Amino acid sequence: MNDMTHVVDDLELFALRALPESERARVATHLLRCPACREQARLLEEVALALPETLPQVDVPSGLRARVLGSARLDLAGARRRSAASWLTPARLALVAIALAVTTLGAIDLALIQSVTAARNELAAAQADRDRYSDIAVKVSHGGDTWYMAGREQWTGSGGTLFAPHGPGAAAYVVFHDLRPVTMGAVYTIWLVDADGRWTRAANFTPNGEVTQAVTLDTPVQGFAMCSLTIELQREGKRAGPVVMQSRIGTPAPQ
Amino acid sequence: VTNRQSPDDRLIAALAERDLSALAELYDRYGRIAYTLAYRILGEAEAAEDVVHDGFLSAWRGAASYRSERGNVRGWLLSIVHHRAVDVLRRKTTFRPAPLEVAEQRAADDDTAEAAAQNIEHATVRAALQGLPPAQRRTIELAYFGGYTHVELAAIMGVPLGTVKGRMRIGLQKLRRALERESDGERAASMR
Repeated sequence: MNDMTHVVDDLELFALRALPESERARVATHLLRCPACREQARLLEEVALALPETLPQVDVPSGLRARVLGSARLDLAGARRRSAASWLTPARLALVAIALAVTTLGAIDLALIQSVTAARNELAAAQADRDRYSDIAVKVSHGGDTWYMAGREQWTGSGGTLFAPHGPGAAAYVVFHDLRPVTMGAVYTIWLVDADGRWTRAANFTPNGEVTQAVTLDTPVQGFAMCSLTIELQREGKRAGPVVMQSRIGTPAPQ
Repeated sequence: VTNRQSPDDRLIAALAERDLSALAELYDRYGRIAYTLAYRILGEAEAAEDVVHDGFLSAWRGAASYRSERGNVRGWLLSIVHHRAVDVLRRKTTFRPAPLEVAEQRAADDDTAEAAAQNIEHATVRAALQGLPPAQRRTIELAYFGGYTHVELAAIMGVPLGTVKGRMRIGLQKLRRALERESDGERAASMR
């Protein structure tokens, strides 16, 4: 069955969640690309969502409201602690990395030292995140290439920087920022595309809800012409989902 | 633009801005129906509570991803809760072809109609559901509230897959017409 085979016969099952996950994924993939089926599915889902109203309402446990709000409050406090991480936008992350690298090399540029100090202060404020970003900085301080991918269309505002360190055995990785949540069962997939248009799956991951997220690639970037991020419903196989962001990349120059 | 937003849309916008009071209001509006749904699917207070908790937290964290053109806030939230509850149920109960009576016990209460009658909202849809031929109603309830897939339903009901699909299709069409009638009635009442 190709991707544009309409799924009208399965839409009632889809709306009632009566499809097993594998078939549900097939229908969901089609809906991503087919406005006609998507509209039909939306109408049926409206009907399904009226079903809870046919139930006799039950009393809610008295502590549930406080539990929900308490968890959200904790989540908010965590986000504030992570606000230092929001300082680490791709450009600033690169600055941190460069600044730390320069420090390592013993450079004495005052502005950069101030940047390093500021960066270190920010990183100290985010104790839990510090090791991770220090690790990133160390990798970059070994030299490497970076490419920034900007989110497209409805993913505008998201982005990611692909780092390809030159150090021996150092894997390439992408530091994403402001990734949107994906629907249950879906994953983000990082692809490397060669000059002949062959797509190689380099990593699957789900967003962790934090402002930034680093993902290591399973495949070296050498020899590939483009890096791309898509949303997929399958963790293996060919690309099927929409492109969220992508960038041309070049083969890193030998050191 | 703000004036054109529904109260729910404004609530979600505030939620995306990490406004805790918006989450409290969202819970006050939909906490009960969400818990009712989760409890009906799972049949256990503790598991239902966990699902509703996780569902609201998911909405809190994912409010920025809400798109009003894809459905209203109530539907978005109930979809999250339904999805999670069915997932929990399916993880807990590996399918075995249960006798139909057992499956029905899991997915329906004897006193549903009587108790639900106290809820005056959506009376038309409730009446339409109750008015469906028993086979269509059971098929829809077992799927939506019982978490059964169509293959499982065919096995426990002893009918071909096509029959399961057909019952769902006709049943949902009738419910859809009932919803449209209800919506037309509300519009007419508001114009009086």
